[in-house]
Amino acid sequence: MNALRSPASQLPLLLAFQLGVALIRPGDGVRFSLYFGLLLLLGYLGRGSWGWILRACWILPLTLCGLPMLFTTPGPGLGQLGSWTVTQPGLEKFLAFQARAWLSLAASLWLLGQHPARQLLGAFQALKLPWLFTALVSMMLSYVEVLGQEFRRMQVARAARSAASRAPSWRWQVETVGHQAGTLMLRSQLRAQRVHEAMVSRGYRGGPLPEDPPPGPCWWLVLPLGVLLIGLSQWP
Amino acid sequence: MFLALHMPDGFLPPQLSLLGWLAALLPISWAFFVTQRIEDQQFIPRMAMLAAFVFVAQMFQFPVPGGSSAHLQGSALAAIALGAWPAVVVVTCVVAVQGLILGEGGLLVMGWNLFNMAVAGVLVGSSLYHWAIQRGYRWQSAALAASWASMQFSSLFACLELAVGGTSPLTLTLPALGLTQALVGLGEGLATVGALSVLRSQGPLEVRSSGWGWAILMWLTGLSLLPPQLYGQSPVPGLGPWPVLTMTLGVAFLFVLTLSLSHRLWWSRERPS
Repeated sequence: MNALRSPASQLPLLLAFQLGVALIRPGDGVRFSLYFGLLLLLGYLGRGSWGWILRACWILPLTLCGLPMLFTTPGPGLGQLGSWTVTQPGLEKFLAFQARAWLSLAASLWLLGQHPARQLLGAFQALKLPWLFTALVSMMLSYVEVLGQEFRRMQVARAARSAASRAPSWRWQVETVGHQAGTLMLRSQLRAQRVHEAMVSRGYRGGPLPEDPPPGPCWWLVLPLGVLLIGLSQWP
Repeated sequence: MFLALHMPDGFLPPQLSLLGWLAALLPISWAFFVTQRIEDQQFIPRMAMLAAFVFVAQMFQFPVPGGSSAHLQGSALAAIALGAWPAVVVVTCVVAVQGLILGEGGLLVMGWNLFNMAVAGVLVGSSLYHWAIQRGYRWQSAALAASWASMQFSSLFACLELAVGGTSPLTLTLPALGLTQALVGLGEGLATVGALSVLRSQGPLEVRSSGWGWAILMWLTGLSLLPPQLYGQSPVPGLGPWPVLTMTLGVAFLFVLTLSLSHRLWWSRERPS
């Protein structure tokens, strides 16, 4: 079981889960419940908080874009909504669409809740993704952190300057935001140069970052489990 | 508040999602191959810095009825600042991190998300920018129009995918996403011009244009003309090649209009000496 706790093993299983969910036929409520049960089991085994279940619900308003399929899918009518007829296959398709979107997102969020971003980066390396990808992503995440710190510092300075009895004018705010964005870009560029100089001084000569890749996924467990996760949507 | 940034899983049928991976993987693999051969040591940190900036820029978003959200994209900025193929790598990293680490955008449909933003957005932005520059337009006009057009093409492809996948008809997505992206695209264009002027203040941008841009643009347009029957059942009655061709031409016309308006905005035209 410990072999399955590594993100390198869990990432391919997540893909298999999502592929399985995507392959469930509309109207097959039993199988949707089965995958939902699997997700609850994962949540129990993960022993973390259950906040990901609520976070995944934010997808539901977006799935309302699928409403037209209630009326455009041909089939026997269930009822009238104004001048449009809701069809039975349309309703099944729409509900399946909502369930798929929710289950896939909830599974992703569960995985993200289990591991910090750095561990997931290690998983990319273990899965033999190109070195340029892992190097770029790792540097990018560091820069995002730096950008965030710089931005917060600039926000404090901006609030201090506009601490008048009445709110500053709209034009002043727009100008300040524009200057902030430009300064942020300039500072992050300078920071990138400094980071690069530091890397060169420690022996970096381009190419992959000299880090030991973490152990790869436990394929002899991941492959059969992945096939099972996809197959659950089709059997019998 | 958490809100899906790109298309989440379940929006497209699995066959169509896998087709998206096929369409995206070929140009992305080529982009990685080309970029890994660049010997400039400072290039990777510069790419990472731009990736971070694009990553943050894409977080500013507006939900749109029709199954997606309008947001700043940064594809054209990366394409102009770094060149077409490195920019494909940069936007790929950004979209992949959003999907894999933040759970924004699905994994199965990531192929199409990558295709829309990292391939179509970047290559359209890059080729149109260089086309305008070669004809003597000021870089500000060219950058504004290229950013706007790259967003339009990306959203056009997203609308087509949602229609072909049977999720949302074009009659709903095109006005909703297209109009919002047209407005956000103007903001994106101005942000791109601002960011480029900051980058240019540090030194001239090295142009790494790709002569393949137009060829790939043609390929992308050709792909959009494929009859929907090839992908599965379409909910839009009578959606064949012609309406799609009309829409593509419409976007091209709007691009020319934007280029001409933005050119008038800066008025003068730089002629090569």
